[in-house]
Amino acid sequence: MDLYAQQVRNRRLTWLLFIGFALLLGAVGLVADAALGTGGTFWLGGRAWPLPLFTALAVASATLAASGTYLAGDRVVLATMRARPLDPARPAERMLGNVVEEVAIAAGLPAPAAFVAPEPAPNALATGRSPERASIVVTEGLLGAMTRAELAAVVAHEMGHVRNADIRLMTTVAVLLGSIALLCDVLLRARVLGTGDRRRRGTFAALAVIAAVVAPLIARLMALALSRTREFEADRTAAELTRDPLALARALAKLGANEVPVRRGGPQVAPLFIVAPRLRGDTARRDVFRLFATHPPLAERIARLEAMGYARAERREDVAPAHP
Amino acid sequence: MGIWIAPAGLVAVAAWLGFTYNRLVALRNQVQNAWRQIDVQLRRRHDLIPNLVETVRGVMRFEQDTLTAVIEARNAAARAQGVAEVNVAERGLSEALGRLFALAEAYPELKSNQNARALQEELTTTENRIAFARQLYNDLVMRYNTAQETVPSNLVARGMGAQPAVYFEAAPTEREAPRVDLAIR
Repeated sequence: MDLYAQQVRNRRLTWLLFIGFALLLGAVGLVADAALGTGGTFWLGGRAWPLPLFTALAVASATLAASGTYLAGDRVVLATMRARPLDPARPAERMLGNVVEEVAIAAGLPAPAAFVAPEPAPNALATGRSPERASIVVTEGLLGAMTRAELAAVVAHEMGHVRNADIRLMTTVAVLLGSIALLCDVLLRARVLGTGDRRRRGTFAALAVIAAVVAPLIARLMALALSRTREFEADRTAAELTRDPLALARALAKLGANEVPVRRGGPQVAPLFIVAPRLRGDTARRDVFRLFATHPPLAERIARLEAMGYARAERREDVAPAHP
Repeated sequence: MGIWIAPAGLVAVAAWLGFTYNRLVALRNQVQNAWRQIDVQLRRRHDLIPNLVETVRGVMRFEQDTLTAVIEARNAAARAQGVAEVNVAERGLSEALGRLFALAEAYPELKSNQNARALQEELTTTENRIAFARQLYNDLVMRYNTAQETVPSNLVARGMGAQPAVYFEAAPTEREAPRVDLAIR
């Protein structure tokens, strides 16, 4: 796909997500105001103006969440993963730092900040809002499982997300999804409070309907926004950068064989990962996120990589295994 | 109605000329910038080589000629100017390094040397950086040269006196499996 077209589409989708999120919160506020009669008034210019209390609160918090996501969404993701900067004293992490810089040279972009997440499940993600402010996180499990060429392929896939301007959209999805999950929990628990008179019961029932029906719907829309072509595109970019699609195919096969579930990050961060992570446990929220299939089947991704014409690689990384 | 056709055509041609000119200038600047990136990485390699020679000198003391040849090739490469000259000098350096690495295989002491292992990672990443910088540069050169040679942008290119850019070739030894494995098997 045309690079510019994808960037424009990503920007539009980010705005749509923010608007959808604001509408969702606004709906919650309106229901609460209408049912509880909390529409107060305030005086301005000698006139009484209606002030729907909860609606105003909801819109304010939606605006806050949106600007917070734009300004610090990447930091939220990094904190969720407990990502830490590289330690050059460790050979594997020194190598990761080098690989990130190598791939950045191939892409002709500034090198993103590299992080390691203390996570035994092998996986990797990219976050940020522009190529100038981008971060790549690799789990300790991945660092221990890959050869140098495979690590470069994974990093190049993440660099593909950076170059194709996917990272801001994906970060927005992760953070807003987290907010919606939180909201769902709050609303579903609030139902317990609605045991008083009929009117209050009605209100909390309506809020529960929003939590149970509307919020997953929005989440589903977000999943559609993250169409699966995005992952294919990043795979293709990785092959173009390293001229070694088979290394990425091998890396994906290793990631697919993994049985270790992720400890942190959970379902919200899932769309950011290079392969869909194994989730632990059976929380209520998990069902909402099962609606997602943000990643195309691994077998198809591997088949496409193997079919790519660059099969004769010019690279030399496989000379040294990552962990001798 | 007909009166507008000539001026509209002129405006369209002028706009196309401006657009094509700007595209060629942008490509030329990208090529120059990519070349500077290669230069940075080559300098990194030049800085690494004295360190490499010092590390292996003690062990490989009967290979003085090879070590001297590496140092000389390195100094020649550091002096080289311009794409064509650098091309030749770097090829000479790659060949000298190739001989050194081939000989290093006969010295198992190097495989257990901590310094040599750290140096191997540095050499691997440097060689990769050079290869990737060259890949980006050559891709840009191809786009620039293609724009100069194809119709209709070749007309503008000729008008502005654009010269085809020179590819940066890989050394013949580098094209095969490069041997940066003096320590780890």
